[in-house]
Amino acid sequence: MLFWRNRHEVGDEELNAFVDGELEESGRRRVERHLESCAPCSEAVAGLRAVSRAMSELPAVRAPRSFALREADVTPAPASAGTGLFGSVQPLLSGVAAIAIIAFVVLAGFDIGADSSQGDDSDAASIAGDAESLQLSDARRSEVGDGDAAPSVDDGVPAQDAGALGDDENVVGYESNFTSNDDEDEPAARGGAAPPEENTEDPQTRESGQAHAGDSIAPALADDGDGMGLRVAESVAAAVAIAAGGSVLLIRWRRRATAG
Amino acid sequence: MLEWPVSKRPDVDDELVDRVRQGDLDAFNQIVAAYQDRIYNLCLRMLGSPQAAEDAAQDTFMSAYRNAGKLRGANVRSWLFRIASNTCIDEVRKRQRRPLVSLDRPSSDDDARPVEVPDEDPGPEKRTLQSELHDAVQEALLDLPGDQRLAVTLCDLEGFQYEEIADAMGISVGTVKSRISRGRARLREAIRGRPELFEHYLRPIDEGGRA
Repeated sequence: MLFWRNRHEVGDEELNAFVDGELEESGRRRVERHLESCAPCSEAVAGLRAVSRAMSELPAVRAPRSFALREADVTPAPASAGTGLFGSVQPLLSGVAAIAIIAFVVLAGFDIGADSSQGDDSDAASIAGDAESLQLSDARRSEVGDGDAAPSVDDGVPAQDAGALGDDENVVGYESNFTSNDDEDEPAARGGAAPPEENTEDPQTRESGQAHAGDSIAPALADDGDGMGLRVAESVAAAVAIAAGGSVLLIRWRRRATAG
Repeated sequence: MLEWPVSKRPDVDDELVDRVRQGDLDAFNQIVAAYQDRIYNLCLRMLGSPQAAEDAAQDTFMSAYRNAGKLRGANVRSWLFRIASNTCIDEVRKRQRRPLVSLDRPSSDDDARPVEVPDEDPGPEKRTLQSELHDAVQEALLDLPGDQRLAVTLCDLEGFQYEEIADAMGISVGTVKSRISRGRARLREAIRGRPELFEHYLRPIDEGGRA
């Protein structure tokens, strides 16, 4: 057995290296001297040599056929987009992912713009898709609750009018639809997440920012009521983008793995 | 280690390597012809099944051709065995992930069976004994983890030095030592378990390192 010799002065790996002729001259002599006085190690070496011999005496087998490659084996497949079902749907998935991403960015931009303009400066609100605004908006959502972030619409009120409704009273009313216990806290919470100058902003500026950001998209979504349409559209776009994009990446990865 | 009467050491020079690197199929097929027996044997010992070995050998050469641009210097053998090693290890892992049930022998591989090899005819009795010996060794080999199997096979069948094994497997020499040691320990236990077959392997042979 090799196991009990683990703490022996000559280890198993060294004995294997000795058998394989991998030791330097000094190491080889040291093992040889050790073997002269150590019966277990001598037995172990005999066993290792038996294994090595048994392996090396396995017969060589001739290849059953030629593995020479033909031109056809190495000619690239004509369909660069891939083969099979996954290959054929990949362009479609890529397109869907791209459209979904654009839709999400536009919707999120509108969402942020509308949200910011409620109590923020109009410049920030007008920049759809701006990353900083997105973070700001996310921070607000987490503070106020999930229901607040589509303030451009109110119950049944077209969004063209949302600018005019952008005062605190309407916002509070909107909030109350989603966060039942935040009616009085909402303005404070919103102010807490916004830049310091937010509370001192001229209401007129806010209104203009709101109207600017909401001009084109809000009408289509306002009818859904309570801003849920916007939120749902955002979520759907994000989900589609993730699903389609993920599928494309997966297909490419599989193809690369197969080709590699 | 194996003797290769059917596959002489190829005359691979820099000019041939240059042509291979540039995608010259004829040049590449010269290398295939020179190494296909050795590559096939490595795959056969690693996978245990002639069909799997054939597929792995073909995959090896396909992959080698696709990556011929990465061939540096004239060390074609090292390059080819590195690709073959990766191919075999990938296949072993693939089989471990989706093992099939074998009714004949419990093994980590699915269709691995002792390889039937036509030996030079030594007479009926000896042929039977040799065949049993080879089957038993191959079975024990297939029961090793893939990385140990590969290290022992490259060492004992191909006669690779530890440095070459490390290069082929993409590991350190220290790891090679460890894998060979653990692999041989398990093979040795298999030998001890069947003394009637392995008696002549256990006979003491000349000391002083590998012949």
